[in-house]
Amino acid sequence: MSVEVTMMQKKGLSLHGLGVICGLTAGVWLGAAEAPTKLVTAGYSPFAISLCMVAGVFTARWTFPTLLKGTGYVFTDLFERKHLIVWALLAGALWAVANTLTVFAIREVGLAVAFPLWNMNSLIGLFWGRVLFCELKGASAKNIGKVVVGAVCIVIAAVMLGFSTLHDGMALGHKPLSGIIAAIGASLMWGTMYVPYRKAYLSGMNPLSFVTVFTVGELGTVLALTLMLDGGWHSSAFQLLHVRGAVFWLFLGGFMWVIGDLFQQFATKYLGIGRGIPLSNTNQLWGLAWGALVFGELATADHAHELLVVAGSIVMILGALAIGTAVASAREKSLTIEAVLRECKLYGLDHDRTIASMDGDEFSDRGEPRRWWDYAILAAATGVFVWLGVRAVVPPLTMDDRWISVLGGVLLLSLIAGTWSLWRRTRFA
Amino acid sequence: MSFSREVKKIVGDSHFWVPFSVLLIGIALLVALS
Repeated sequence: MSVEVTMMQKKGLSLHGLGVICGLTAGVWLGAAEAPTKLVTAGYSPFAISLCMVAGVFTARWTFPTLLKGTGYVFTDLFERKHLIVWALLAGALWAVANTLTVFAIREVGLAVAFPLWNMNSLIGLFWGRVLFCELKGASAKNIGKVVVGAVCIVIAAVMLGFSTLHDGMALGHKPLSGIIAAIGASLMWGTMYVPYRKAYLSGMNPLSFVTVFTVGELGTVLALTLMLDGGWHSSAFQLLHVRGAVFWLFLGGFMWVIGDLFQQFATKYLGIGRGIPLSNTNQLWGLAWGALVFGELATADHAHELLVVAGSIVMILGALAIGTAVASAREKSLTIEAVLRECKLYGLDHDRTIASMDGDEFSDRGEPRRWWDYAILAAATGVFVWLGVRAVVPPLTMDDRWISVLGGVLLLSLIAGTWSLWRRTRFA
Repeated sequence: MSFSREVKKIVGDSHFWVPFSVLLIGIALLVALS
């Protein structure tokens, strides 16, 4: 109980505020991750694009995140909560299957129908958060209203922004029902993927440890799906890996995705999934900003499409504001502790230590120094990016350099704000 | 022993069957669609 009291009395940025900053930063980086993939214009299969990007995610995990917490810390954390290794692999597999289902959905029914369906994932996350982890239990009617209305607003806004990028003449498949089922399946999977996330953080795991195993599950599943469904070893994915000029852009997309995902994980840790997912789903706004401002994707848009962009952006900001101001009350927090107690009892975890870890306070014996191999891993992973980068070829696409600078500046500022807040408040715990 | 104990804890956790069932549904969907 003493730990809980200390936690409440801690001064400075609140954990809610920290979670909101992480959720919004996740949105900025996850949205920007789409931009480099637009530079790969040749006709590779979606499996090939996905596999290369996930390989980039896996490699990127071992670049600068290794500096935040070394391998000694990560493996100690993982072995203290071994059961979560299975949960993290499960989450990675869920992501990979969902991502592949979206490929089928887009092919059969197009983005216009598929996108609204899979964007319902935040509402599914909200449901699981309430049913499994007591989220919003004991919250005031006002706070419940803010979170639910905010999540619905963000879904509606994401749909509006998705529609704004559609144009006539998009080719569709011949199995609309299959496409709709695939999109609903993706939504179910992406909404359920947050159950392992939350499970890990209620057990006091560090997001950096969870992401480490998550990327293994993700890469393994995408590789298996490529082998099973995309022509085995003859898949264009394996040819694409040899096209050095293109691979860098997919790896860069993977790098940006992993940064976004790390912040998303911290948001889930400090806000829960009901509040965390909708905030990171603001990535749609940033994805559109890159597409429209840098690649001129809305250059031929009519007034109706422009109106969708403006209205969708305003609704999304209002939704994020509603969730951002729905601070959990003391009663809601105390009921979250019940969910923590369940995990401690079931898996034999230390209650005080788990509560402290969950709230960003760790005991000093976890502050292991970096070893020489941490720097070797960091150098090798960075070397892969440099090696691919010097061979990268920029395709002849029209891009607005001014907007690249502006949006690149937003990325950098959000990274500084997110990293600084995490370091100040929790030392990346 | 430690491994089997961990497995027992995981499969005995009702939460586990939620994402696991959803994953099986997803894989079944993929197989059916491809």
